Amino acid sequence: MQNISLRSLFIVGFLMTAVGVVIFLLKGILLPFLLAGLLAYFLSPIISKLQALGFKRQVAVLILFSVFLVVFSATVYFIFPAVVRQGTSLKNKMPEYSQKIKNSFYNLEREVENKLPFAQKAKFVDDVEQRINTFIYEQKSHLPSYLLRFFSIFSLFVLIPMLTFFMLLVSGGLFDSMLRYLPTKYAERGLGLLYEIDEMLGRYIRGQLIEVLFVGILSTIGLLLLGINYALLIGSVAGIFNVIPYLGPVAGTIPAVVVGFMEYQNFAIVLKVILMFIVVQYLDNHIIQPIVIGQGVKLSPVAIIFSVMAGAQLFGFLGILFAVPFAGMIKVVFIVLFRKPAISSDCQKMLL
Amino acid sequence: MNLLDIFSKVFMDKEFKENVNFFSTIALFKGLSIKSLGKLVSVAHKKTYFSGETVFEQGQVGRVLYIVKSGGVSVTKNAQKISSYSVGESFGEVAMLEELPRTATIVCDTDTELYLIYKVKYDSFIEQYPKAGLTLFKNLALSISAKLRNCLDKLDKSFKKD
Repeated sequence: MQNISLRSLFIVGFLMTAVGVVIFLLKGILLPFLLAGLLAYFLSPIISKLQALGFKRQVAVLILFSVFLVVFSATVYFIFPAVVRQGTSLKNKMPEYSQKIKNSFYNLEREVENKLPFAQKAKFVDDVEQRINTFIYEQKSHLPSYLLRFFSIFSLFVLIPMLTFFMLLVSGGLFDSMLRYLPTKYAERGLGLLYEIDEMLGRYIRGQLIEVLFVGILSTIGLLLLGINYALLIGSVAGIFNVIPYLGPVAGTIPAVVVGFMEYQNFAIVLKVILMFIVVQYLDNHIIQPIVIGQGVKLSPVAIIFSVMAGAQLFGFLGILFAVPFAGMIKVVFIVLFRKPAISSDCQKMLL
Repeated sequence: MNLLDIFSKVFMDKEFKENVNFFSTIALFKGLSIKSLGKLVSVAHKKTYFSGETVFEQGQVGRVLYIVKSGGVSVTKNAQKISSYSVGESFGEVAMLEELPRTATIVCDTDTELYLIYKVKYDSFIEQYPKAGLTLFKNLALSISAKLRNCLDKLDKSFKKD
């Protein structure tokens, strides 16, 4: 038994390392495949439902894909231009906002210097401004090519839908094919591995996509109610950032706080915005998450933080997005392969 | 050929319909609606085992329910044949209730086609359709009770022989 476990451990370790190396080497071309995979996972339960009604898989995929394409195109057509418009407007207003912030801080610095004369030589605001400018310059030089590469028109409208379509089409027979080629001895364990990974990934991916929508829509509504400019843009950013554990919700709040402060020049609006985001997070954590993610694989906070940081180190933004499901997958593999019977040997004897 | 037949031929899955019809004959699924049977078919996987192949071994932790589609299997315990299952019969039901080690080894008597239903899918079916789940549990209880009675009868006979 010990030998079998060690051998399994070695094989699993070797396979995972090999998969990891291949993924790392191909990271430059992975995004369209990963996004298509996400969409396929999101849509596959509907395909299963249509199939359970007796439809052929091809027909089910065609029906769903037609509906999805209409909804997706409408969303891109109506919401994308608005987000881009708000982004351009925000970009144009940046110098004005930046000047306003600088003035506020200069006033603050002057007050501090009057009260604490020894701080006069520190020139805190100038130093911070220089650092922020350097940071923005560096990020700006990375951003356009990065975004263009990922969200090129070809990728968004042709490659990703096409990949999603084929993934949905073939994924139905995927389990059957895998099961057919698995040695009989490993059929039950192999099926277990496939299903438990599928269940965990499915719950996680569908849950995250629903959460992005929920947080994005609710934040946008909240920001509109508070009268914050660029509500749609900031709400969308907050929704997308929500995918990053722990840091995401905070990062999503910052743009709203900054824009709110610029517009109203008081701290009351900052508090209102923060309070609104806390309410959105509370609703997300206590109502949406238990429903959509449910009893997924539980990872400790340390494991989550480590996997996110390791993902960022190895794969950048992609690594941050996929770190948690990948860590969950590793945990599932170990649970399935080294699962112990649920009862004690005394109980087994009684049942036999 | 009328319009409905053409629609059915173009859009509907013939093999799926045959599988639903087959599932409706299985004692464990007795009383389930066509829709529920369809859901179960969509989570069942067919696998062919060759004559003499072991499906699972005594002591292995079980999480799969098996249904015999064609062929037949023998149940052996401590290298002794104690029972057999043929077309339309199911085995491994206890795994649907608890993650217990299998109490016997199953070996194929001939080339055999089996449907495999994994516990996670079975559980989520019950969660989603509690009414159908109740029927399934009732059938499961009946099946286990019949097997228990059968066991006790055999035990009784062996005591009388001694």
